[in-house]
Amino acid sequence: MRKFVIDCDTGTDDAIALMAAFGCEEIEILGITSVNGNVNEDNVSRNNLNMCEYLGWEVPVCRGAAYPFTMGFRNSSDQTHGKTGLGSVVIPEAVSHTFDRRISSRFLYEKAVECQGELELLVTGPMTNIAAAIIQYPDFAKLIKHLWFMGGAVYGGNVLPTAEFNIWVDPEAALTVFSSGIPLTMVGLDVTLKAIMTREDIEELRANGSKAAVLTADLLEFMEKRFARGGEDIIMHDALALAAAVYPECLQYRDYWMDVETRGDYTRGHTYADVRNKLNRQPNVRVATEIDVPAFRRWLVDKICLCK
Amino acid sequence: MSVKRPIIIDCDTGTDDAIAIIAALGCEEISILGLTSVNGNVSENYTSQNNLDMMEYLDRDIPVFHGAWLPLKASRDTGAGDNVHGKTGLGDVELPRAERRKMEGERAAEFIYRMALRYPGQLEIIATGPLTNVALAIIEHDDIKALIRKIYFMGGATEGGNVTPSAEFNIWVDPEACHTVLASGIPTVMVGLNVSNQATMGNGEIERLRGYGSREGRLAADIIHYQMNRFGIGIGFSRMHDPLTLAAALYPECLSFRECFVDAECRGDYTRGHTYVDLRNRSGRQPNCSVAVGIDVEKFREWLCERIRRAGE
Repeated sequence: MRKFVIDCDTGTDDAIALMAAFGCEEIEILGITSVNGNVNEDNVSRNNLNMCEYLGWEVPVCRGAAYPFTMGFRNSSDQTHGKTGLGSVVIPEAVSHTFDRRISSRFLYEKAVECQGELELLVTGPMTNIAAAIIQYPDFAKLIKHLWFMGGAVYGGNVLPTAEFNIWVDPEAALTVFSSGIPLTMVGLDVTLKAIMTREDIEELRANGSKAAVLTADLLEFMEKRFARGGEDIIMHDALALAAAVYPECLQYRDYWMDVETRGDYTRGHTYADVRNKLNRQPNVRVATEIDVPAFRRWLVDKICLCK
Repeated sequence: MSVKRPIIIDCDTGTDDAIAIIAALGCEEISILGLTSVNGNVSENYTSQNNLDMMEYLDRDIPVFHGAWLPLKASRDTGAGDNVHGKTGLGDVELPRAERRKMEGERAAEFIYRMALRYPGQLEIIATGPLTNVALAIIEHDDIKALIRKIYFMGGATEGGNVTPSAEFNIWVDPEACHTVLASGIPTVMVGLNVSNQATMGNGEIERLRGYGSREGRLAADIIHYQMNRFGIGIGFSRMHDPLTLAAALYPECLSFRECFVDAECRGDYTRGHTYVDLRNRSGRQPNCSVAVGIDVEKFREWLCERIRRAGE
């Protein structure tokens, strides 16, 4: 069975990606690592812990980076994910599940060693933890079979016209990951902005009635209301990165040489893809460029309903 | 107070790092909790091995830790240092390879955080290389800021540089880490080239150190001798950048300081790694660093030789 660690900044859509991941029988989730991003790391790691207890997942949850590499951005509250990260949705505080004692970068490294080259990573937040593992453990990058991440865009952005949030939060960390030699698949705004769920999906999930399906329906409804207020649509950024890993058929891909802009008065956090191969360099990222939206929605609803 | 000051030395040993470590061994007022290693003067596999070899050669029970082997922003063209410190970091000085001692399992950043928790408000860090390990400990632990008493670092300059006209090596290797440390709110003390370039030792000191008849004295003398004669050009003196940083912590009387706002330039096509030291308070920003601006070289030399002597007793 394929082995994964999920590194996330839960986060409404991270939460849905987690539930879908636990519905995928073909993968084993070895742990969840937390990072500052959608909300601050305290809230992110609490959300991860609370979800594990609420949904009965027996996996380690680790604390992770509280700041990006250059300290700049630490989220305290966010319009998109609400104050604590799960929008208006409240789940019970974990009472028996406790944090793993290892910091995320150490945990990632130990799992990489244990899996002997078979570990895959799903990264749905800023890349601080992954980069911290890379720069502290010389053999880490070589031990990762593949890293699937939500972040960046070949064209466009959300925080800035040319920068996507996860990369913009910690461009230096992203650059370190892009330069590491780890095989990468990028699921960026080029495709995620199209991964929009519908009222139909919400109703199907609610009708299913399982804890995970109802929680997902609640999160999607928060997003639906957010959209009605002029905020972001019911977009499944992070679950689409999971889909790239376990249901790759719903996406199409191109291989590009990519790098991250870390300077730039207006462009810091931009992911540069050499789309015309002008630099004639070996591609280092597989980039999702097209999405079959109905197929993705069907897959996601099914996996959530399978989540135990 | 008879309680010893708890100190971690974070270093990229490194010729003058080694001399700083030897001198620290002669300081009774401190307890050296560990040596944490970082990429810098030479790559991390050498700096950590040098630290381990030194502790075995000098028979000291101080744990040695692996640390970052790349800077925070690890782009493809990231290279390890130059050959100022020779291929392995100690110039032409060869220590016996450690046989009994092993590297600790924890990484530098983990150890720094654990010691910060054990000595809340007391832990001091003397950093003589790039600040990658210290920055990692800060970004991974939001509560560490209130736990560390002070960070003394060798790096930067109020003006000038050595790698580029405006950048000093340690900061230039990892400007982002320096920025993070300076932005953290932890009290910092900077010992830059503006003072450390004046902190020289020469043939007189070599003789004196050899005269102690100890392994510590001989090792320090051999390193200084290498530094004076490297590249086949005798330069007549050797600069004690890192021992001066130790002095800032333990013998601040040999230096004078100014409270300033300091930051590291992380962009800049030509100025990346520059330390901006706002000596005239033009930025209006709150000072975040005590910057060494003056040095009494004679006092410093005397102190350093004396500490190396005590280390060998």
